[in-house]
Amino acid sequence: MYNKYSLIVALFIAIIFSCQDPIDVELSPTNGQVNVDAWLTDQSETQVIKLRRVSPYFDSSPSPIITGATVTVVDDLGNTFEFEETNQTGNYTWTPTAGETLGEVGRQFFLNIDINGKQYISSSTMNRIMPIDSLVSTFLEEEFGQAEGYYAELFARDFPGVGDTYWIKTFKNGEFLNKAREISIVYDAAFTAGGGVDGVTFIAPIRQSVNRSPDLDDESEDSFDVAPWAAGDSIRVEIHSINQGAFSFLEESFTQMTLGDAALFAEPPANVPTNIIPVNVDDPADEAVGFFNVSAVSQTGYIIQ
Amino acid sequence: MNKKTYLLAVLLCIGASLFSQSTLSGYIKDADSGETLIGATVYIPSLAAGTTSNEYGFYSLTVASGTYEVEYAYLGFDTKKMEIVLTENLTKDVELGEDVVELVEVVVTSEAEDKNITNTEMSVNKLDIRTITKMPALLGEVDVIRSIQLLPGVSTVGEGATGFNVRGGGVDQNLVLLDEAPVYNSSHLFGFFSVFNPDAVKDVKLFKGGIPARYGGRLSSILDVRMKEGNSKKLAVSGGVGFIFSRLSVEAPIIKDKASFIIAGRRSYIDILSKPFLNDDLADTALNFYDLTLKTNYKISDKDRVYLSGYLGRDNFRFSENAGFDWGNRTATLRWNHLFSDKLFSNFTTYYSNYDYQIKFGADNGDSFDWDAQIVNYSLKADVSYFLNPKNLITFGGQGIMYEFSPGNAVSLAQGEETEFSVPKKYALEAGVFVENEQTINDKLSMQYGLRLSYFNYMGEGFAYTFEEILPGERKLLTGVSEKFDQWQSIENYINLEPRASIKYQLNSTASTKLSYNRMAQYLHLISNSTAASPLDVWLPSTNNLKPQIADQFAIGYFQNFKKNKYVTSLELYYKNFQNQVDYIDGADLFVNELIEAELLSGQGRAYGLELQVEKKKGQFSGWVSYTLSRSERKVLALNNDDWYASRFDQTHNLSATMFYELNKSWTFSTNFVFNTGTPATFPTGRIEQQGYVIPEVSNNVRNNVRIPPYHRLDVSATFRGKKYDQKRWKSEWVFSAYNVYNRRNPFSIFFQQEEQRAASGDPIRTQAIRLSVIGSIIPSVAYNFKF
Repeated sequence: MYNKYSLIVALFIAIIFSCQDPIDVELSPTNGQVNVDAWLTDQSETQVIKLRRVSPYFDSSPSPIITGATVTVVDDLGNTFEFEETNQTGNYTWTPTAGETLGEVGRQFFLNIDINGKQYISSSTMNRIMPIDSLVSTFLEEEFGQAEGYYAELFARDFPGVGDTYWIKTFKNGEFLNKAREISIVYDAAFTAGGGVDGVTFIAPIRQSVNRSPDLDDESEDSFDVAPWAAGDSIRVEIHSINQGAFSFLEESFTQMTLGDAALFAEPPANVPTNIIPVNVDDPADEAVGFFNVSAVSQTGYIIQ
Repeated sequence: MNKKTYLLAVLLCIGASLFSQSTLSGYIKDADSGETLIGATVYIPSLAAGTTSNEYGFYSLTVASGTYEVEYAYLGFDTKKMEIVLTENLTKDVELGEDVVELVEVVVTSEAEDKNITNTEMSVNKLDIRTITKMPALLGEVDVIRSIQLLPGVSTVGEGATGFNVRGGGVDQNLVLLDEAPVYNSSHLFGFFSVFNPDAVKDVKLFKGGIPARYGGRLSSILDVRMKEGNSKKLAVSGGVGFIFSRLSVEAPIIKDKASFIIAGRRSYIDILSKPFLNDDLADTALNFYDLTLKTNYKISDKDRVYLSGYLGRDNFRFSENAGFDWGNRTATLRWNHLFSDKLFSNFTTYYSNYDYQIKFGADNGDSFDWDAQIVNYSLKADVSYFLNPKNLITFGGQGIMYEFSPGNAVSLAQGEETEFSVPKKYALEAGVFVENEQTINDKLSMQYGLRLSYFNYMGEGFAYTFEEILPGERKLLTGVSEKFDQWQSIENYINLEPRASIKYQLNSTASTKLSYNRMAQYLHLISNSTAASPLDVWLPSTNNLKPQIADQFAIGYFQNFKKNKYVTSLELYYKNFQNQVDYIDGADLFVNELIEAELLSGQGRAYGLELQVEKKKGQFSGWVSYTLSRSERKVLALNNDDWYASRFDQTHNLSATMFYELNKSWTFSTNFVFNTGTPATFPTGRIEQQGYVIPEVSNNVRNNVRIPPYHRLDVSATFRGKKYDQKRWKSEWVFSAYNVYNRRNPFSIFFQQEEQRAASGDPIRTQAIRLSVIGSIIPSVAYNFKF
């Protein structure tokens, strides 16, 4: 995603004697709150809600799971979707019958979770989504700061009216590009609220956000801002309509995960927002983090050649 | 004698002495260049009466008529003693010659040398440009702002950070004046170099407390930088070649002893050196920064002088024809000094100051995203000094400043479709009137007291917004937009009474104690939510939602000199209380946002500390050690559980030592050592896994609960001059220096992130802590300077 200081920081890194190196630090223990990962779509496929606990920051083993909870989603027409736990994994799923979906654009959904008598609620509206006009990939020759290869560009036109928010997810060979820098979120047709860029085709940096951030462990890629696609790669792009709260959540998550990229101009570290509301909780360990959002999705993809 | 006759006799005496008083006045100058000297002393030992020259080199001393021996002194210059027959008012311009006797200790017991203890001023540091020039400098580039960071009570959040922090205040709380015009961003290339060209600077004075009533508008300090007037005797050229800049300055008389000018320029030249190595694709890149300083003065008569000074500086960084950014300051000052009488000195100033930046994210001709922002102000100012008698110097005056803020104009082009979005301009008027008196009660007691009345009017044209706070710490809800205010129509106004006072009590001939209080009001706010201020931050006026910042400061100090003023020491304690400090909601959107006030929080602050300085003024070996023990805290509703937390620029211990050693006529060495406690930081405790991401989490919502490792650094420099430097017309020197000699990787910050390797799906995501060092190695440099 775009960082407002990216140009400046790029310059800073280029000409100053700065350096970055990993170090060991000790961190205080976490309270281990309830973490709800509930991002659902209008697709007719298995929908998953994960219940975990917050684990120590440096602990890369799987987070502690929360089993035995009751998870349901209800819509504003009174339909109830039961999310059943799969084999005590802390993953709660709802599998539709062929062609069945959670609902359509405009429906409001309510999440109810019960963990040993502690209740959590949330809600989300499925917002409108535009069709994708095209996903173009162009072969570019090598230039300074640009590797030879295919560069993708996504064309879609925002709805007129201020306040539409989207999340663009890109997949390479079926794998979601999940680096923090690859988060691409859109407010109307540009980056942030209040920018006034509404009802037009996505602005250029957003159209070009469907490319991969280079893998710095791969030495051939380290000098490029954007890594190109190769012939034979499969590219798939999804645009999810998201709620404004979810937009803020992803925007803040991006900021907090990339404080190092902002270098001297990093914002103060702070907790990201959540829309999971605990009902009868007083122990800090039972407080909730995470997000519930139901999206409508437009998608396209092909093999690059 | 009965009481009545006694009283009569006293009155007659007073009357008689009033009748036979005479005023000695004039200008004190450098004999070599004709530059006026600021803060030179005039002293009559037989009366124990004296005064100092003001910012324009003018002095005035009214005493009983008679014949006196008068001493004129200025540090680093030979003291001039002369017998003056004062039967009527006398104008006496005096030129002092530079003290050329080196290595031999000159014992001059002039009043000048113990000014630090006899003066009422406290919490003030004066740095002579000749001292600044001698210090070891990063890449050999002599720098005013980096030099003042070696003084007690002055700190920075880290290398490369713009600006400086004084006694626990933010970088926007320093009023940086260049010939009286405010400079809104004092940095080139972020905070590495400041905008002041050392060749054109005459005098630097930093007020950290006990701020006189004639200054206002910022809470924490006044950095008063005065430019040279230009050599009024002969043509003088100086310049230098360093790693970053090449400098050249030319000064000369236009009409000898009546008018002169100085023009000084600097330009970075990395881009010029690298040009031959760049191919056609990069022909449009630019990377440079430059500044140009110009000043000229004209002595119309003995009573009238005018000065015109200007500054133009720019940093340009262009990556291609369509992408890049640039920023810079422009200032112009016109001043008129007028002597109404020998005792009544006045100065009228008008200035213009402008700071602006532009940024372009462009892909091609059909797609771009550009924005720019600007702050402009115009001001009129008058100061009158009335040298009533040696015991009272009364100053009064007023100032009006007109502000125009352009917080952001953005133009977006997507597939040729243009969307323009501008945050409307904001306008404001700031005015202040003041009166102050510097009074000597007796040999021991003197005081300076004054009052400033400041007024701020946030006005149209424009709209006023009203907001409602839903939850503390969250974005406020817009509840109303006013009718459009007409141009000049007041939207909101504020008035503040700012009392200022300091008292000195002389304990004995070598020690004194001082006490001061000042209240300051600040109506401008730098909107910056990042660790270091960036050139893209915007300034905003106080509005109906954003209240003016107020600070109260108390300070007490003890000053003592040893060994005939060879050692000068000071110890100060201060306490500061801040109101209406701006803070930000999490995820605040501060760029090109018309409703920016919804993103702001208001809090309070406090800072307290102890400052110690020991300075050795004279001898082959000289220098100073500064130590500060301090605390700076903020309290903002909804942040850090509504509790006090250490501000980003809090440093418990801050120690610096600067030393100079003159080995012989050819070689001079200098060194800096700096140590300070690591700045506070917030470290995460847990990880929130969402959609394949690991988001850091801070349990219990604490802020700045950890400290990064301490910062320390040693710099050295050696200056070589030819043996016959003094006799030669072409004087040149080589400066060899090394910054961060022992190669320490001082952290600027520590941040946390997912490891760079792309985790395959299903694999755990590993996280790491990264130390960011802005300067992570030793930096040697060589510079060549010349003058003729």
